[in-house]
Amino acid sequence: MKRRESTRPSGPSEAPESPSPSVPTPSARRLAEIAYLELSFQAVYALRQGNVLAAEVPRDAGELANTARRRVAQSKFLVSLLIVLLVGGSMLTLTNIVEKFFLVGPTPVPLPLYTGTVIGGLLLLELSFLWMVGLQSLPTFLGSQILPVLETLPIPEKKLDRVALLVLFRLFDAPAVTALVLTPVALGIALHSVLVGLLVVPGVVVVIILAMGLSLRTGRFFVQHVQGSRGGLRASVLRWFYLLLWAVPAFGIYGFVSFGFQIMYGLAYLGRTAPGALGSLLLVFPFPFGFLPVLGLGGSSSIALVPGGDPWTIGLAALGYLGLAFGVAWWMRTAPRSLSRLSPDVQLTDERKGAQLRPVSAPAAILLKDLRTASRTPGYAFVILLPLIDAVVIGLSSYIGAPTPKSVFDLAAAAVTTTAILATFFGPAFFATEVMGYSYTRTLPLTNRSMLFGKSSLIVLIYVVASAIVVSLTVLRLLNIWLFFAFIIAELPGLIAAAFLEIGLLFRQAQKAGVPVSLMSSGAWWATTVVVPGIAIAGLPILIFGVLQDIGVSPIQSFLAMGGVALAELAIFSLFALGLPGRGRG
Amino acid sequence: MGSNGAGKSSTLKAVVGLLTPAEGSISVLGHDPVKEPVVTKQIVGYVPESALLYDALTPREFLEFVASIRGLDSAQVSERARSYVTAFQIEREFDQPLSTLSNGTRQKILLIGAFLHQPALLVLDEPLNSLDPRSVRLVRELLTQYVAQAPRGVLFSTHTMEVAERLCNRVGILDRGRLVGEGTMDTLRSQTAQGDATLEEIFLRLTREEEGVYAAVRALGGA
Repeated sequence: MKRRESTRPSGPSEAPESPSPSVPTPSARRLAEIAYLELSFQAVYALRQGNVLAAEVPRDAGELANTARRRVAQSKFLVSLLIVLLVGGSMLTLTNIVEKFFLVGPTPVPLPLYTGTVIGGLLLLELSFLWMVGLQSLPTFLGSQILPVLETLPIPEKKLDRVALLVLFRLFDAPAVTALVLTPVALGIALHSVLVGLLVVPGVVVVIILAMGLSLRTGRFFVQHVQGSRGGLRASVLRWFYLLLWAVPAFGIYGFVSFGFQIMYGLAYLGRTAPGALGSLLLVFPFPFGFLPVLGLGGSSSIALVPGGDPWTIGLAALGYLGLAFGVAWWMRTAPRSLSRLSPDVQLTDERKGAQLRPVSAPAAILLKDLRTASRTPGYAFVILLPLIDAVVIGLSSYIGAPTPKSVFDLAAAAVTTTAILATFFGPAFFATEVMGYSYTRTLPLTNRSMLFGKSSLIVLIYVVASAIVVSLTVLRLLNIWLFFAFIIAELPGLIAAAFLEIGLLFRQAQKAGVPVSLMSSGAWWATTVVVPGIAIAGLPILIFGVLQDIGVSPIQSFLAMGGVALAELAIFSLFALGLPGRGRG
Repeated sequence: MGSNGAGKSSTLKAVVGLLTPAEGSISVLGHDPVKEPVVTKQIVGYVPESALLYDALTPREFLEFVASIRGLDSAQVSERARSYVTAFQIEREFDQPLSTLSNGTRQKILLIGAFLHQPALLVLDEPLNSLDPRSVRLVRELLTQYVAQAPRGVLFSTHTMEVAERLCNRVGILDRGRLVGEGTMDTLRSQTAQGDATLEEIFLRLTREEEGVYAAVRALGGA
């Protein structure tokens, strides 16, 4: 024991040995690079969430790191592609052909109003999309636990703040840079003006800063009020209500894409009846940045063509929003780090409900677990809420419009198509919930079949609830709900077939690669790959129906053919899904 | 038992079917975890090294999930859960998300999850990690009682010599992936030719670490 005696004097007076503050630490950029690599690694392999590397995965650290980098880059590429689509769509809308269509539409729309609204709409879509990307990526940012590790090292506070901000920005960088570069270039080309392109830049910068700020702010709200929320029905209802509030960016996207025409004509109508009101409306973000580039088209005279439009007021409003963005950017210097140190508001009570457990069947347990997980995880809640929001939008459009018998038919087809496609598009994302506690679940006697039925039932549930929303809103207009029902029922087997195919493919991929697939930040590539055939399978029965209608086959025969194709798909893909390798999870 | 990185957790993971052995085979009460994963998992209860769970679930929701996958009866499983929840004193935390609970409480939930179906074999990887002294004593007593009640087995890894010495009928010592000693305390003592040796001394002798420890201390003392 004497060997353990210290040769140093000890006592309370002795200062603990610590590195001198003058010891140089790596630059914030270098630290952020290391932290981001760790974040990518955790996003792909999820070892900190309990995943175990499969035998096939190479053990070389450099190779693992490169794979993590590549997979995260692939996901970012796909996310950026959506920005390209948004910008491309707007570019097309601003071309002469579409322009003329709008100008001679039911309500004449002045060209500057039209141009400004399209650019403003694009900025709104970019804001909503980047905000959504932020909300989806924040759980990865927080779950990787990279910042708490850095906090234990002797790194100056300011440097830690910068590292946190840089790492957070890395989650947005590809879509943000795509928006920043592509938007001015595309709009400049579409409107044949370099000046227009330059005047778009401030708007995009503000959009990126505000999207990051909103992601952080809403993420903070999530950590404080949802993550620590207790179990039970009342708390669950309240959580879903909060999560619905987070669907605001989704509403932004769907609202503008679905009601773009109506918004345009509504503004034109307002300009004719109450130009003052339109002028005030144009000061609401992001319209000032939408109309700023219009100045590049014809100076102040072009804005003057917008009823109620005043170049000075619009310029001042844009300056005000720039100031706001500056304030948000200033706040963000420290916000990412403080978010990573935030703990949930724990609601400990003395209320004891006993330890009653209500086991259900294994597939139902998978479904219930996913719903419960989603209720405390905004990223997953979005996956469920987006198709439901879409159903509300479609239902509302049927309620607001004045449908004819022919349009009711089209509406039913459109409703079922989009609902089925969205359910098959977003459903596979839920496979990623298996990341959490992955290794523990793999020690349970869970059969592949139970997992398949459980995961597929979520896709079917999203479809059924979304369809019910459309039907409910349609009933309010006393439309032909039987038509909707017929579509929903005829499509159902096709949708189940698509779900079986998607989940079956993901299952095989997860077993082969031994990593969590379908996370937006790391596995978007796989998720997208399985979604393409899934959508094709779900869409085929509807396509058959449409073709038969076009060649003059009766609706009843068309429905029967649609149902027949859907049933055939279900038979084929049930065989595929039930033939999953092994009877248990490997 | 074994040094850090000796292969304790990997061995236990292979037993519960989380890892596929590179060579050789495993038989769990006559079942191969690779060829019969579901049957093997039915008869095993496992507590992993780290309390990694579905963080968004509460203990009640997590245990309901475990009970559902294991196909347990509601009345029976509720009665068991009630007994364990009371014993571990976690009634207040039972409806709180796992992400907000301490490591010790999460470890207790994992232990309850392993006991829930009263398996023939409990596989516990450092089960006493993060537990408070009361809970350590409770788990020790529970394990003793558990093995005594029926023909059941407990396979667990630990670094705590005292626990292993007091609890285990047989001790296996791993060194860099190889089993260098295995048997009762008496067998191990005779293997090392030390009649009155403690488990710590046997461990250091079998893993050839005894001299290494003193050399390291000497080196640190001179640093």
